[in-house]
Amino acid sequence: MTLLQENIISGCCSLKSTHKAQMEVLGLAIVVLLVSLSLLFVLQFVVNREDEQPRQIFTRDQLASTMVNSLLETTTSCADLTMTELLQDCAQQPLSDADCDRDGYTRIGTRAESCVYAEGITSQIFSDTLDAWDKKYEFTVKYGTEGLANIKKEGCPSEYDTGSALLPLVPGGPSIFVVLRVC
Amino acid sequence: MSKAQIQMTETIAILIIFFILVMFGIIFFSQIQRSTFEQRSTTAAGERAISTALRATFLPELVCTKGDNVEIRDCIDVTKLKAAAAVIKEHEDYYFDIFQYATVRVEQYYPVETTYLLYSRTRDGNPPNELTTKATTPVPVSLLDPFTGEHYFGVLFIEVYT
Repeated sequence: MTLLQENIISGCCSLKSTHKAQMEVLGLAIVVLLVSLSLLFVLQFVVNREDEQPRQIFTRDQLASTMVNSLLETTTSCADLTMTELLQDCAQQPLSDADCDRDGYTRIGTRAESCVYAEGITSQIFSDTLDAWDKKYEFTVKYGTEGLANIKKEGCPSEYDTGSALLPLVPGGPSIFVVLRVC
Repeated sequence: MSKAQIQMTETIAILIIFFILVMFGIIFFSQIQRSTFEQRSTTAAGERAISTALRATFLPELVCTKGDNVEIRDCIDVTKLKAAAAVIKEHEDYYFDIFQYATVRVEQYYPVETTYLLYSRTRDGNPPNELTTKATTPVPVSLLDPFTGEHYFGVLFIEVYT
């Protein structure tokens, strides 16, 4: 082999290896670029994730308690009884004596009229307020182990704020427990 | 392709990648800045809404009292409410210090639906519309009619304009 031929062969191979290295660097750059882009994408979601604002916490927190307080104070169309008195009468069934529709009977089906009215009025108020504001909630009234009313919209499986009230009925006996959970 | 051409292509590719990265960086940080600013202004408006809501809830012009002027919680006197709307309208500048740019109204839901508008002032002076940005805080209240002793169910709405 002549000297010229040797030079040509070595030049060709060194050029080939340089080209290969350049391609590798370019590939590496593309990988770095893709990784950076995905990182930016992930970071953007992390940064833009909206935390619960103080106003939302305040609204949810005070909504449950003020709703229960105001609801229990409300004078109903049933013999001018307040919601508290209606629930107290409901808890005394079958001895309830509230005749809401003044027809001489104190029962609607198997339930006391006061229970039916209390549940109906509460449903009406919640549909105008909590339902209209697209809030999920769970409202329960219990006397001992007996459930007097249960109104809910989707329920509250995890995070919620509670507004509650204890209504005394008989001295020394259990109280009526009113709970509203707003999610 | 000569060695010089390959090097030039490589330099151009690196520059393109560099500028793409710089561009993405600028877009990313500008978005962070913008979202931080928006978050701050939303938080500020929210805090103002809370303080305005608390002021409105405990406004002596509205709250129910019993005995020797003892305030009743979560209760608004209907007779005071009707009178307050006129008083607030007459002394709007005084109440601007309390409510600033906001709308305060009471909506009665039970037994009959009624609305009492107490105060309303927007930044542009026009009545608020659907596009007006606001932070609304609803506070359920008991509305007492002192003449009959009946309590109605209502909600005090405080809409603070941002």
